[in-house]
Parts: sequence; C-alpha cells; structure tokens
Amino acid sequence: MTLEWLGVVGLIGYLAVLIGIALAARSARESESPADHFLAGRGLGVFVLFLTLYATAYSGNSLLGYPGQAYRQGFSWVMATGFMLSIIVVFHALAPKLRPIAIREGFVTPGDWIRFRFSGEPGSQLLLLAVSLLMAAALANFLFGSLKAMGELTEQFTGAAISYEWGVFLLAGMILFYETVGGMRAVAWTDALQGVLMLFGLGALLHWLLAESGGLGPLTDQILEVRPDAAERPDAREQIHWFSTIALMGLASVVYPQAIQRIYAARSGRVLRHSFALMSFMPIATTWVVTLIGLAAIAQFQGLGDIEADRVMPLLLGAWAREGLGLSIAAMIVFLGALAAIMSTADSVLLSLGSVGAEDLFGRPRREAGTTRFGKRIAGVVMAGMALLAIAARNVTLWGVIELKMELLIQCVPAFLIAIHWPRFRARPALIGLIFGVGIAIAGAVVDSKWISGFHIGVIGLAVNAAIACIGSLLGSPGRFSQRVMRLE
Amino acid sequence: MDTRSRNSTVETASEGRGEGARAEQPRWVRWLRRALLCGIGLLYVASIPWYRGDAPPARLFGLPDWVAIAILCYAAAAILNSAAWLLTDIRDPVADDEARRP
Repeated sequence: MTLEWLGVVGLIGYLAVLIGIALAARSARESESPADHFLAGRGLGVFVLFLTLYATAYSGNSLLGYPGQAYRQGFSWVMATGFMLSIIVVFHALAPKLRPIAIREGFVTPGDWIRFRFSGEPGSQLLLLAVSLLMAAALANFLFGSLKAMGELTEQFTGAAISYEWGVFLLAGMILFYETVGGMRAVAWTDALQGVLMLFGLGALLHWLLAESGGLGPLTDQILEVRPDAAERPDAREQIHWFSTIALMGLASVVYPQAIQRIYAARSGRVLRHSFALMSFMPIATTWVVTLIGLAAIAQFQGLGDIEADRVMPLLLGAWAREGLGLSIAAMIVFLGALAAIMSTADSVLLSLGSVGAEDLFGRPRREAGTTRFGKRIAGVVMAGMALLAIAARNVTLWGVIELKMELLIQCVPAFLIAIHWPRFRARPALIGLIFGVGIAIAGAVVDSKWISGFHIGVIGLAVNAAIACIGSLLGSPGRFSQRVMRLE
Repeated sequence: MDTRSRNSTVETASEGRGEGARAEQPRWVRWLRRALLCGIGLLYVASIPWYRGDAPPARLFGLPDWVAIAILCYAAAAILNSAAWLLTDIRDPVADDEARRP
C-alpha cells in the first residue's frame, strides 16, 4: 500500500472514531440549555480539561505555521516557546478572579462578564458590542487559518488523492457535525483524543529528526552550512520584537473566547488550577519541538518561499514515509496528530462563535434552549463562509493571519484584565480606548506598518488604549461597580 | 437591597479588593506564589539575549548558547509557573467532594 492510500485509510478511520465520540456525547447530554451545549454542563474534569486546553491552544497555526516561521526566521523563533508559556502565566491575572464570579452568576460567554461588570453604566452596551465583534472577528480569522491548514495537510499527505478543496470541505463538514450533535462534550472528548494523538505524533517526529541528523549539535552544523544567518544572535530591534511578541501573544490569548469559556466549563477551581499546572509544560513539549522541526527543514529543503515554508511539516512527513512501510505508518500517525491538532482548535473556535454570536451579538437569552439552536445555525453559516474563503484565499501565510488576529483581539484586554482588578474602571473610557487601539491596529495593517521600532502596532495600540481607559476612569465619577465596593469599605 | 444582591455585592467587593485567596490560606503561601511569579518575570528578562556582546555564539547542548539559555529559562519558568498554579486558591461555589469525582 502506498503512503497516499495509507493516509486516506487512516483519515477515514479517524473520522469514524470522531463520529462515534459525537454520538456518545449526544447521549450524555443533560439538557438543551446553552450551559449544557456550550460548556458541557460545567462538568469537565482535570484530564479532559487539560487535554482540551492543550488541543485548543495548539492549533494548525502551531503545527504548520510555527515550523514555517522557524524555517523563515531561524533559531530566534525560540521566542515561540516563550510566548506560548506566557499565555499560561498571564492567566494568573484573570482566572482566579473570574472563575468564582462566572460560576456564581452563571456566565456562558465572555460577554457575560462585560454585562455583569459594567451593568447600567453609560457606554456598556456599545462596549459589549465592540468586544463581541472583535472576538467574533478573531474567531473567524482563527477558523480560516485552521481550515486552510487542514486542506494543505490533507492534500500533501494523501498525495492529492483528496485535494486541498475537498479536504477543507470534508473536514469542515465533520467538525460541524460533531459540534452540532454533541456540543462542548463532543468537542472536549475529541480534543482529548486529538491531544493524545498530537503528543504521540510530535514525540515520534522529534525522535526521527534527531536520529536522522545525529542530535542537536550536528543539526545545528547542518543549518549553519546552509544558512549561517539562521543562528545569528538577534540585534536590538529583533530583541524588542521578541519582547513585543511575548506581550502580544500572552495578553491576546488570555482573552480568547474559547479559553475564557474553558474557565467557566471546569468542574471546579481545583480542576482548573491543576489543568493550568499541567499546561505549563506543554510549550516545551510542543512549541519547542515544532520549532526544531522547522529548523531541521532548513537543512533538508532549501530555497522554499514564504508560502511554501508553511508546508515544511507535510514535506518532512513525506520524506520520512518514503523510507519504508514502518515509517510510513508512523508518518500517518503524525499526520493524524497534526490534523487532530488543527481540528481540535477549529471545533472550539466554532463552538465559541456560535455562543458569542447568539448571546452577545444577537442578544438571545442565556438560559433558553432556543439560544442553543440559534448558536448552532450561526456556527453552520460561519463555517460554510470560512470554508469558501479558505479555498479562495489559499496563498496567505499562516503567521500573517495569526498576527493580524492578535493585534485586534489584544484591544479587549483592558475590559477584562484591568476591569477585574480595578473597581473604578469604567465602560465609556474603556470603549473610547478600545476604539483608539483598534484604529491604530487597523491603520498599521492598512499602511503595511506592522511594527514601530520592533514593537507590534497592536501592542502600541494597547498601550494607548489602556492609557485612555485608565485616565478617563480616574477623571470621571466612579461607576456602579466601584460605588458598590466603596460603600462596603 | 435584596439578600441575593447584598451577598453578591459582598463577594464582588472582596474580589474587587484583590483578595483572590481564601481566608484560611496561609500568608506564606500567598507570598511564595508572588515570589514564584516574580521569578518567572526575571527568567523572561534573562531569556532575551539583550545582555550579550557581539562575540560569535558558543555552543551549549549543541545549540547556539543564546538559544540554549532561552530554552533553559523557559523550562525553569514552566516549573515555577506550574508550582504557582498549584498554590493558587480559586474560590469556587462547587463543593470539594464533588470536585473529586472521577
């Protein structure tokens, strides 16, 4: 059997398992309420919560985009390990305070926090709308990147027996099926399977790479022979960019709607903190490994362009599989692991999009079954639109997609991180700050000026955004939230 | 003010003042957690090679030394962060015995 047909058979088997999980999740549901569908009835335990956090955080961008960026940028892409860890660090500022309020008040979406925190304040409705729109845009962007990665991987690994276009449609349809049928339970359970596959696959690939190159030292030698600049120490400007990327990714990822919803979905605070404790080690186990994969590709495939660089992972798997049947099967498992990583992020994103769209953008009530059905319809429409877009806009680099999304999403940070720690923080200045921050980020994208002195334009936008929001809150009268606190003091 | 909203205000006010931990959590645990978080910050500062000169990089564990130092810093930060999460007390209306369900 050729590698291509092995890929097709493996893919069919994997999809069959996903269908089984979706049906099991459907039979485990307790009601049609939004909390049951979108948050699995707030009952996720340590093992499933950890694996769903892991599989959601490490996506097609991580599995295809990061090796591609390591190939383009060289050793300084070690920064990716730092910024993926920074996400779990920055959660210290949000999760311990948000979780108790969310459980007590029955939050389902990130917008529920905005409603609760700024209730009755002037500008609170517009702030909710602006935050929800930014989150929906970021989620749609994320979904686009994931669909694109799924299509690329499927076409590469099945030797075009399943084309890019058919790969996108087939896998988008599968995600839509199990997400609609089983909700967060199906997503979390498939994430658990996908997380295990991804860990196993990456471990196998790293082992092969190091065995093939003779270890880290010879691998470095091979890279230096081909591209000596790949090992150069970053200059001052690149170091600022390194710091800025850590800030951008760490802060923006914390306000990912799907991440916030997992804080709500944990069975208890204890489960949540244990899951985060385990997550701390995943950047080393995953991001550093995919960085090494991208670096190894420098020695193996020379002269790939910006777009082709995103395909280094499938190219490496193809090279591995050509060495015999045993390695072909191992390559198939890695392929399924990478595909699983991408699908697990896309399904979480789609679930969040449905709930944010239904509740925060269209104002459907939080506790009614009709909201769940409406959220599913939104998910279907968005998925179809993004699948068409992924086919139409194939030639966009994945890292470019990630950066644009983050620069917009990071503007929501003050409404969560500052608002949860500072009772005086008010809705109207937060809204004005957010508008300025988004304006700066969009202006940077329009004039193609992504960085100023190494700082991401989105990080500069966030600094302006936070300054406006804080100064405005200090100058104005205290909001209702602040007055409630002061009365008690 | 009804009972529910008064209770809600009391809890919210407590959170607003930054008392994220339960009253029974020892002070030394809170300080240790803060110290761990400060340590993570220092490791991040050390991970970026701003303090290195222009000399060509040496090798450490087969990698350019500034790359190996960055990875070691992130590995150490991961250990400190994991410990900090285990010391984090997240108040939760869910009973502990329910949380221990398999």
